[in-house]
Amino acid sequence: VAQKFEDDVVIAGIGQSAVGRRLGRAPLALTLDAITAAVADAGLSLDDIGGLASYPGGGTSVGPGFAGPSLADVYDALGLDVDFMMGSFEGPAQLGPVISGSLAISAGLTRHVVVFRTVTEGSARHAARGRQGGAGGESRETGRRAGGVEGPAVLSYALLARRHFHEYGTSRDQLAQIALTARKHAGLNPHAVFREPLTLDDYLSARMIADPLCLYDCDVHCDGSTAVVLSHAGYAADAPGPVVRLEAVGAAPPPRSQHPQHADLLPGRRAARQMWGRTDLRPGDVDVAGLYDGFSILTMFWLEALGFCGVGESGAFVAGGDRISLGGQLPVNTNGGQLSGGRLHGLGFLHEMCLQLRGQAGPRQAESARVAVVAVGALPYVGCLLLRADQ
Amino acid sequence: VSEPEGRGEHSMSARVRTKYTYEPGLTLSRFLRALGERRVEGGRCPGCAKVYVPPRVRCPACGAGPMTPVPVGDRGTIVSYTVVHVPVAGSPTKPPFAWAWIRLDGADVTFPHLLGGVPVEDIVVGQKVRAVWAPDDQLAPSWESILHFVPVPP
Repeated sequence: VAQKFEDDVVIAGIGQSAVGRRLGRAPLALTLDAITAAVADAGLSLDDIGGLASYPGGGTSVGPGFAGPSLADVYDALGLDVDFMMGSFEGPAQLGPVISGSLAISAGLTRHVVVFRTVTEGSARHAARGRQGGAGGESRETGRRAGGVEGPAVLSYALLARRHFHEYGTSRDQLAQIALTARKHAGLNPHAVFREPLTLDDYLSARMIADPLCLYDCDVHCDGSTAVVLSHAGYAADAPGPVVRLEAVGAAPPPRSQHPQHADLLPGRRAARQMWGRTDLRPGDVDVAGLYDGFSILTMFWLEALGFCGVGESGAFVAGGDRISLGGQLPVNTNGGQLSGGRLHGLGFLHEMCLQLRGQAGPRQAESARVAVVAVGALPYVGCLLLRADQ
Repeated sequence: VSEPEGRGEHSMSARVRTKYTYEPGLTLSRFLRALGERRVEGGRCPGCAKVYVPPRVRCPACGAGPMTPVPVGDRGTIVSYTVVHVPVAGSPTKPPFAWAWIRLDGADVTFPHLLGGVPVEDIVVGQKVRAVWAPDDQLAPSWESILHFVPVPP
């Protein structure tokens, strides 16, 4: 790709609210904290912000605490005059607003776009406990009775995991490394929800949820908000700190949308192919990765889809854990991911990869981190980004 | 309504009940009525000839339609399975229970359903299964007209 819109955009600022299992704070308040921090980090004031984008946007009801505030509430609260906004559930998952916001900047609609993602699932699910309960939280009774083909998420991912085990000989010892590595990294992140050490024995003796997925294969609901400021690349020279360059995006959805009718172990493969088609960099150039771990098996799928290993080889790739740990060939989810860091839902990975590329990850800094990948989502919404350190 | 200390922010929990009517449409209605008569009726795509259970209005793979109704047997194969140890919202089935993707003989896609009649440690991918139908007085235009699937000898 000779000219690409990605070259017009940098990530000039990042910010995060407090993160915790249950903060008991309003989604809007958390969001304002994150946005204020990101805008200050970018060396900007709210008057400079001309765009606002988020996932999933207002009016989306997936489960308690899943949707943050509507974009309208946020621009009202901050007194923003925006020239571009979007909040959409359908698109390249939680990276949709990053990609759309970048396109808006490249197209000249505005120079600075704030992207945020806010969750209060920790508090909301706790409040709903005993009334809703059960896997998935929300009732799927309608779909089940009426011939729909969806179950609560964990059931579908357990079935996909079993299929991977069956087709490729993947084992629980191997899958465990996603959770164990995340916990090891979380121990280096003071903001992570779960930081105490976790052993393979702990993992193997943990409560089974839907086998082969146990408690530690499921991410942990939390409260928190993450924001980033996308800026026109022309701003990079004026930014107070190091910016992060957008190298390539992958926005293409999976070939088919439903799990059971078309069991697909690599929902991200089209997005990944698109991303690699827009850059000269190759998987071997990636120094650190944030790979969606709503369920541990999804990280394995992303390793394969992105070409870090062959199809079916993710079990061997992660075996023992060293390769995906800090100090290894490809450190994955250095903040503890969503499994131990907390389910900040997508943008948490982006925040962490920006810290890594800015050399600001402290005790969990990956060595000479110049190129990072962020990949989020699962069927049917996926997206990925390739990021570069500045200069 | 609670007010977390010192924040001036409020939250509220409330129970909401909603009555609803579900209209499955012609294609799915036909499929569900057949289940109520202990029959499985798939749909054959006029474009790629793939057989869908349940049938779709148009083929999700090639876009052709409408599908032609085609009878499918009540025997098939386990494509994947999981033993579920948590209660599932909206489901009366008590954990632990086995849940599987099943591809019926003659169908090209899978659907999820319950497995029964087998110790969970004996379930394997590739196992042949058949439907166990509900007794006459429990038959209805619903997936629940099939109680579960059980293994059959190879």
